Order: sequence, then structure tokens, then C-alpha cells
Amino acid sequence: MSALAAPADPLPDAQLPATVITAGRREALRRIPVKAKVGAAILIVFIVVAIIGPWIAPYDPAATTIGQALPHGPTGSHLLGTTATGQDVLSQLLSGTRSTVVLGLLTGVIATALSVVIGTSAGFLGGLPDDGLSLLANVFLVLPALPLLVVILGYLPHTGELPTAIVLSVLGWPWGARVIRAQTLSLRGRDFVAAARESGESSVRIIFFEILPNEIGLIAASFVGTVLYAILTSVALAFLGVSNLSSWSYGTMLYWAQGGNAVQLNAWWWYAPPGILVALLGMSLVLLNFGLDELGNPRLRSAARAGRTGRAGSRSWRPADPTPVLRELPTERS
Amino acid sequence: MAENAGSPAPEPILKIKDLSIAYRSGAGDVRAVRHVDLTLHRGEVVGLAGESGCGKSTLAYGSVRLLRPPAVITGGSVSYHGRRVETDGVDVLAASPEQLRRLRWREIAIVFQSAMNSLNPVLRVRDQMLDALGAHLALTREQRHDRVVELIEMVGIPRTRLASYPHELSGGMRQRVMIAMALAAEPEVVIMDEPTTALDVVVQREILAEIFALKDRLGFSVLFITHDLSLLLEIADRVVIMYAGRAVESGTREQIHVRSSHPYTRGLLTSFPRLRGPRVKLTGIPGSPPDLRGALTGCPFVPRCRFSTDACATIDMALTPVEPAHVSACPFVSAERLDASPASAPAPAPVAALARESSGAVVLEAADLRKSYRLARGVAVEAVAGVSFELRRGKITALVGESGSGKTTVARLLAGQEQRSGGEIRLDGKVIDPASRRGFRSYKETVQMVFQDPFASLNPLHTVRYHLTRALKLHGRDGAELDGLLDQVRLSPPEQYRDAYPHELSGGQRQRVAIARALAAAPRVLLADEPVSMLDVSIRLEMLDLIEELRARLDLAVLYITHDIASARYFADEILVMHGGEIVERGPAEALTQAPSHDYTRLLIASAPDPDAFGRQLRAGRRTAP
Ligand SMILES: Nc1ncnc2c1ncn2[C@@H]1O[C@H](COP(=O)(O)OP(=O)(O)O)[C@@H](O)[C@H]1O
Ligand code: SF4
Ligand SMILES: [Mg+2]
Repeated sequence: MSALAAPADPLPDAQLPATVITAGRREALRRIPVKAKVGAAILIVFIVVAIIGPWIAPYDPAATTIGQALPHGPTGSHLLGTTATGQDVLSQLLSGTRSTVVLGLLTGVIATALSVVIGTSAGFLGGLPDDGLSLLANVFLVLPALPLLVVILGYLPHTGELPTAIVLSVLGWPWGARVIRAQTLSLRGRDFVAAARESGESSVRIIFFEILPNEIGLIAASFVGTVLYAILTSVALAFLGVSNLSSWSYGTMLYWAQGGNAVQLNAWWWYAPPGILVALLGMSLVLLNFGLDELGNPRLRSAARAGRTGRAGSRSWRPADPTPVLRELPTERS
Repeated sequence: MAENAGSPAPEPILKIKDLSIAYRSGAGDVRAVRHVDLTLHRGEVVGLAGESGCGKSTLAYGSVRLLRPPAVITGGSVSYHGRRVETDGVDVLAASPEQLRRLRWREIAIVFQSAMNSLNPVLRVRDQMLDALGAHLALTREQRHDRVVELIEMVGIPRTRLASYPHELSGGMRQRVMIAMALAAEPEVVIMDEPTTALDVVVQREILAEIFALKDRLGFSVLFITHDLSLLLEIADRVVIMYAGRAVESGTREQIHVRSSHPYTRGLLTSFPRLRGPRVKLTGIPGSPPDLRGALTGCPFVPRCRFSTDACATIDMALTPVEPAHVSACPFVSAERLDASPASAPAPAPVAALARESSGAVVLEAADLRKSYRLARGVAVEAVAGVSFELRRGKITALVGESGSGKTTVARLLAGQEQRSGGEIRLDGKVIDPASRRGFRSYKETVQMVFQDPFASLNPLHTVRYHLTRALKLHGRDGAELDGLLDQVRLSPPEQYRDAYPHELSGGQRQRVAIARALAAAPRVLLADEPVSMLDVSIRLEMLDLIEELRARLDLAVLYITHDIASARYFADEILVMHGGEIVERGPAEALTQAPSHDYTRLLIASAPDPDAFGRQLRAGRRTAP
């Protein structure tokens, strides 16, 4: 195709003068895609709330008002109204964030660690170990996750996030492991690995110092993806009631709202906030993932960069547009 | 030019005037093309030469506005005067996207640098070609199918290969497919950016012959870009030399060949070893091109020029006529002066190969070395089919052959990077197994390999310091010897390189780091796999000289792998010619190149660029494929 259409990058980055690529830390920071920055900012807010939420919650999220039978709308003392039993919705949100976020991050860490260990071993060792581990990954991939979770979690004692996180991780590692394996396989064949072997580096050292650092982007993306999967799945499970219903999380809030007929009662302040927060949290992770993708994929990156630079002209530049003609360079510094 | 004297005055078809192009960047705009004029006439082949990074590709792509921001065109004009455009010329810089879309490919087609790697790996060749035709031409389904067959046969590929996937085709075939696609709409101008650089000499020559036959038949004009001036001297009508974003000399092929008057052009001309004539010591062009950010006052070539004077720092870089149709940007040096002080000296002594003692002790021996790879369905290919030779201390042995002949596999077997499937390797007379886990580390103290692509052989995430100190420590040496190592490979001052990342270095500098890393083991044998094939012609000699110097100083046994038999003649004591996994001819370098006895050796020699002989055959339109 490329004899006809413009190549994605007629002059690949390999040809850029070094000075253009290493334009310092400040420039590097600026080059982080906006998507990633926005995603990270939102995520940080959630993490902060997860840490301090239970302390700043104005009420005990479980405290009921005797005699109340209907949810009350927002008032000055209950900013997000109350549930049917008079529990403060805002306090539930503030306390519930912790469990949801912790579960997500915990699963992310465990599943990603599994993916990295299994993916790099399979890719680096090749041969039989690779066949075995790939088979294992495929088996886990075809397991129907949700029904299985319902069954397993139904049997587990509901204490804390750890059991759930472990079960989610065991079911969630193969996605990441597959891409990391593929990447390891391709890196293993690269000359710099052979060259490291020439200088006598051991296999372990090659994996940890030559290959893994080149996979950071991929690992981060896989981590973010897993966190998203864990959060959505845990919410879904809680909503189905397969969860520790005596603790607060977005999922259990939705479960109680559903049980209390919040929708039929038009108590939007009860069912909408947890839903919106799940969506927002999910969005921040998706943005972060796109951003990481862009950072790791020069093609996407150059398109994004091009869009920015092109705005120097009359309108913003699209990838299929011809090279802009700018008779005066505004920032000519010579 | 003599051949064109009788033809009517040529009409210009693509006129580039005073074109400037910059890459915007926070760290200073890279002004990659600076006020360049270039006119392509109907039916003409114009060659554009210069080291990489001097702006050739930017000029070519920019002139049809294919570059993406941060590239911007900052001045000048480009006009196209094809037969099929009614008006008297399209102003490319003012054209609308729609106009440009019609112009590109249908009028001006481009074969991109490394185009052959840009075929979609999961689509059959036929489907890719059909897609491309469908996207650009209003043809019926039938017509498109017919056209695809016609095109593929036009470039000499049997139509049965249309059903193949790209990876099933050789590099040369893939490049032909790209050329066929570029020619699909019968464009009047074809821009070819390094179309044969990644191919070895035999294939390169076939493809060039192909291009010329097609040009004669279809009558398009060609803008041919390469860093290898010797190639242009065979194929181009006119040659434009670029340096640091500017055109520094331009003239007919003959003028550039025999009367070039810019020192840079002379540098390029003396950068490639020749197969005929006396063996001479060559220098290439030491140093590297300047940073293109900001304004460059005076002549940009000053730091690398043998003739520079104080006046050079302030001159105005205007092209001034030297003779009709021949312009040069250097007002101080004439062709006569350049002839009088040749950059190359006949070298009885300096070409060390000639002066070397005839016998060094044998260090490493390969005896009947074999390697076969198992493909799908149990089929095995024998990449190395029984190869025997020995490497002696202080000697350079060249292993010459085209790609796929098994050269790299031989090196990898000797390095222990790969398990051999037969034969013996002897170190100091003792049979050993380099690939065995136990012996590997100590074997590496003796035998080190340097890889072909310096862009791939250094980890992009580690600094030079990391690469070298690790290697030193692993071989029980002190990390502080780092500076000495850098010095050995002529990377000085060391402070400038110690903490650099690979991407901050040029190809030549990276290759030096790779060599330094091999030297950290203080080896007795150096296996160099095409150490210069990825580098610019102008710096290849420097690299070869470095290896030669290291050989002399450290008494190294060197295996030099290459597809360029002329460089083997220049540099090696003994040449082994490899073809289809076997050594088909061997002998002392000079004797073998001057009186080859095997047909394949003759073919290699005939394919090597030689401005004095080969161009004429191509240009006469004769098929010269063996
Ligand atoms: N996207 C880019 N951003 C900044 N500088 C670039 C970019 N592409 C190329 N350059 C620089 O422009 C100059 C000319 O490059 P190029 O046209 O590729 O030269 P050539 O084709 O002669 O090798 C070089 O210094 C190169 O590093
Ligand atoms: S102007 Fe001076 S530096 Fe430039 S090429 Fe001529 S002599 Fe050399
Ligand atoms: Mg180029």
C-alpha cells in the first residue's frame, strides 16, 4: 500500500537526530499524552478518596434512622440524600470507594505479576515450557469467568478483598500473559539480547535487565486493563449479591439500591452516584490505557504530536492532510 | 551530455525552486532542506546523493507534500508540468488536498525507503495490489485483475507468485512488487528513495536493470535518491549532491564523475573501494554532518574539509557555475586542485593487508561445519553445508556472499550463539563445543562477535557506560577501564560518550560502541558480521580502518563478513566466497578478485558497482541479468 498512500511515518524515528528525541525531562513530561494525564489525575482523586474517605464521611454509612421507610432526597444535612432506611448516601460512597479501589489495584498487582512471570518465562524459554504455559493460558481464557466466579465466591468466606482479588487474578492473568509472551518472543530474537549473551550475561540477568525494561509499557497497560476488569467484575458480582454485603462498595450500594426499588421510587440520588463513579473510574483507566498505548506506539504518538504542531497553521492538522506550508516560522530561533 | 546531444531540448516536468523545509521542535527547528533548486526533465534520471540525514528524503517527500507535521514547508515553490494536466503547471504548494490526491501516484509516484518491508504481512500480494488499484483507479473488477497480472509480469515476477504472502517473497521480489504498484497508473515522475539500499549487489543490479528497461518503455522520469554515489554515476543523467540540507554541487554524470569540484563530492567519490586498478588507501569522509538546527553560516562542510580556510566560515553558500550545466557551492577549490591532491594515495604500504606477514598461528578452525533448520512439515534446509576454514592471528579473512548464503549462520555457529548440527570447531587445536552451557563464558574470553545492525545490537534503554562496564566486569576487568575502551575505538573525548544512550549516537558511533563491547573481553578472535553494511558509504572506510588498526594492535584474528567483494579486496588477506551454504572459491584477496575462477565469484564481481563499466550496459537498456 505504501507506494500509494502516504507512509505512516516516511522518516522513522530511528533517523531523527538524537537531539530531537532527548529534549530533556520537561519536554518528556510534556510529551505524555493528554489522555494519560487526564486519566491519571482522575485515578489519583479516587485513590485519595479511597484512603481518606472513611474518615471524612459525615455519618456511619450503616447507621439507619429508626422508622424511616422511604429514601429522602438531598438536603443540607444529607448532601446526597439517604437510602430507604435513612443511611447517608454520601458516606456510603466515601467509605465504599476504598473497597472498590483496593480490590481493583490488588487484583491488578497479583494478576500482572502472574502475567509477567508466566509470559516472560514462556517467551524466553520457548519449546516445551512455552507450549505448556500457552496451553494453560488458553484453558483459562476459555473458562466462563462470571459463572465460575459466582460459584467459587459463593463458597469462599467473605472477609476482606483478598480472596476475591485472588480469584479474579487467577482468572484474569492470561490476557496480559499472552501479549507479554509475544513481546518477549520478539525481544528474545533481537540482536541486543544476542549481544548481551556475547558479553557473557546470564539468562536471568538478560530477562530482568535487557528484556523486562523494554516491556514496561506493555506491563503497565496490562496492569491498567486488569484493574478495570477487576473493578467492573467486582461491581457486577456485588450487584448480583455474590459479595460481602455487610461491607460498603459501589457494587453493594447498587445491590441495596436495586433491592430497595430505588429506580421505581425515582430515588436517583441513591442509584445514580455509585453508577456514575464506576463509569468515571472506568473512564479514567481507559484513558490511561489509551495514553500508554500512544506512548508506546510511535505511530499513534506522531499522529497526536502532528495534530498539536499543525495548529500553528490556520486550522488543526489531520493525518491525511498535505504538508503545511508556513512561509514564516513563528519560533525561528537561529 | 553526449548521449542526449541529438534529442530536442528537454522540457522540465518537475521544478523545485528555493525550497526550504523544517521540522518544528521544542528544542529548535531542524531545518532539513535549505533553499534547494532541482529540476527534473522529461525522461531524465536525476540522482540525489549525500550522507543520511542531509535532507534527501525530506526534499523528495516534501516536494509532493507527503511529510507530516512537525514538518513544514517554509519557503520556495514546486511546480509540476505533466502532459495530462491541462494547465501550464500545477503549483504544488498551493494545491488543494483533492488536487494533490490526484497528483500523487497517478502523476508522481514514490517508492519509499524500505518500502519492501511495508507490504501487509497478512494479505496475499494479489489482494494488496487489487486494493491499491481499487483505491486509486476507476477500473472494473475484471480490468483490475488483468492489470495486476500485467503489472507483476512487467517487473519480472511470474504471475503464480501473486498468491504468495509477502514473507514468502525475497527482498528483491518485494521491492519489485512495490515498483510495480508505483507504476500502476503510468506516472510521469517516479521518485525512488534508496530503492536498493537494503538489497545485496546481485539483486540490486537486477532491479536497476529492470527499472531502466521499464523507463525506456514507459518513458517516465526518475528522481533517484541514494547515499551511494557510485551507483548514481552509473545510472543518472544528472547528479545533485546534498550536504546539510543544501545542494552543494550539481552536474551531469560525467562532470561529477571526472571533474567534480566540491571537496564533499570528492569525499563521496573516494569512499568506496574499487575492484579494478591499483589497490589504494582510501579515507572516506572523517567526521559527521552538522546539527541542522538553527542557521549555519558559511560553508557547513568546514569541520570536515581538507581545504578549509578562514574565509570558508563566512562565504555565502551560492551555487556558482564551474562550466556549462555544472555548478558548485565551493568557490575556493577547483577540480584541478582536487586532482592534484588526491584523497587517496596509491598504497603499497598503508593497505596493511599487503604488508602482513604470511603466517599467523591458527586460533579458530571450522571443519565441515553444518547447520540445518527444520521448517514446517519436517522439511529441513541446510543453511551451512559443510564449511571448513581457519582463522589466524593478525589475519583478516573475508567471507563473501549474497544474503541467504549462510554467512551469518557461520558466524553465529563459531560464536556459540547457535547449536551446530554437524562438523567440528577447534580452538587452539582442541575440539570444543562453544554452544555448551558450561564452556560458553570462558569461550567468550577468546571469541567475540559483532552484529550487523548497530541500531539493534545495543539495548535502547541502557547507556554506553552500562553496556561497557557490564562487559568489562563480566570478564573480570575493572569498570574503570571504560575510558580506555572508548579510546580504543576512537570515541573521544570519552566524557561525551560515556553516558549517552544509543539513540543519541549515529550509526557509526553505535557500531564503535558495539566493537568496544566486544573488546572488553580482550578476545583473540573477532567475528564481524557485515559491520558496515548498515552504515553510510562515507563512514564505512573509517570503520574498516578501525578494525584494521585493532587487528594490528591486538593481533586479532578477524572474520569479516560482507556482500561487498570490493571491500573484501580492500581490507582482507584471504577471501572465502560462499554460495548456497558452501564455500565455492577461496584464495588470497588480490589474486581471487583479479582472476576469479568460479562463476559465482565472477557474478559477484560483475555486480559490484563500477562506474566505468556497468552503467553503460544498463543504460543501453540491455538486460544484464546473468
Ligand atoms: N520528524 C522529524 N523531526 C525532526 N527532524 C527530522 C524528522 N525527520 C527527519 N528529520 C531530520 O531532518 C534531516 C534530514 O533528514 P532526511 O530527509 O531523512 O535525510 P536523508 O534522506 O538525506 O537521509 C535530518 O537531520 C533528520 O534527522
Ligand atoms: S567552502 Fe571551504 S570548507 Fe567549504 S568545501 Fe570549499 S574549501 Fe571546503
Ligand atoms: Mg533518506
